Amino acid sequence: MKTFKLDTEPKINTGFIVPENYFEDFSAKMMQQLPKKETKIISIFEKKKNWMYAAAAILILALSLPIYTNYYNHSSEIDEATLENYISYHSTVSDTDLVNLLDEQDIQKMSVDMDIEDITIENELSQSNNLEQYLLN
Amino acid sequence: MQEEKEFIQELLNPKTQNQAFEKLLKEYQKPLYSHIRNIVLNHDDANDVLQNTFVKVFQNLIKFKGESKLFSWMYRIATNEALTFLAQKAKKSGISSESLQNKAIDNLKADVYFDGNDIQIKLQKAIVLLPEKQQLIFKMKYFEELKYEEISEILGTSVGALKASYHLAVKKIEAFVTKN
Repeated sequence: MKTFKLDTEPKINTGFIVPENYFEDFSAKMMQQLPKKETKIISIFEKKKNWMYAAAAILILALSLPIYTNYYNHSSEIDEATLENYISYHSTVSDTDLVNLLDEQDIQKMSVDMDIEDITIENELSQSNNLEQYLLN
Repeated sequence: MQEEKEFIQELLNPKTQNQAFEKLLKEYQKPLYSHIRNIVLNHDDANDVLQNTFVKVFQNLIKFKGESKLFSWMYRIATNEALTFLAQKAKKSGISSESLQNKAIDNLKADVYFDGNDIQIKLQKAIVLLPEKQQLIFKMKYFEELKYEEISEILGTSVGALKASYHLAVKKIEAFVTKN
């Protein structure tokens, strides 16, 4: 069998052909098809309008933020001050009732919490007009 | 090189752009068409890929840094477009890239835009058996008659490696044609 050699053989072309006038038509078509690169002219007014929209959106967001946080912050816990106020204004519990409710341990605790010295109590009592009455009782 | 820089400036300047692009088309459409047609084989496909190539060239001119020559940059775009096209076509048909190529070769006989005989078909069948890169190198060297230096710039492979690859491709093709 004859050995095939590319170098010794006459040059083999691809055999590919193109339609008549293909390249002329191609460049004409291509020139028409080229994406238009002109930058769109945006008027200053239009730009401003965009800014206004953006500002309005931010404003709405900012205003709705407290509503949003409040809505989600309904805590079931009541803070101490509210509770205290409520009790002092709305309850029928008198100071005497409260004192009666306190036991020895509570009083001890209160004295520790408040850290009241004897001298302070004495001063306080001496200034009070009802002292004699207390003493008599 | 200076001339090329000026030409690129003309391509980027909106005032001279159209004229410059027309010049670019006239100069490169034929070699790029051949390059693409050699990869995709069929005229209609080559036409589509050539269009995509020029659109890409036009869109990316602004990004062209001039690090490589305009010529090799455009060839690179054309090569990528053609290979991507083939891969997508194969995926759509659910067959391998190689079977797609074989099918395209079989279709050549009936193609009105193919004027060849058995030897051309046989040569194409031998080429298809080569690895993708060797196919490219062989086609660029043998059919398109590009210089090794030019192929090197396009494919980013050293001239030495290209020569070795081409030599290997020729040997494989000769063996295939002799056997068949």
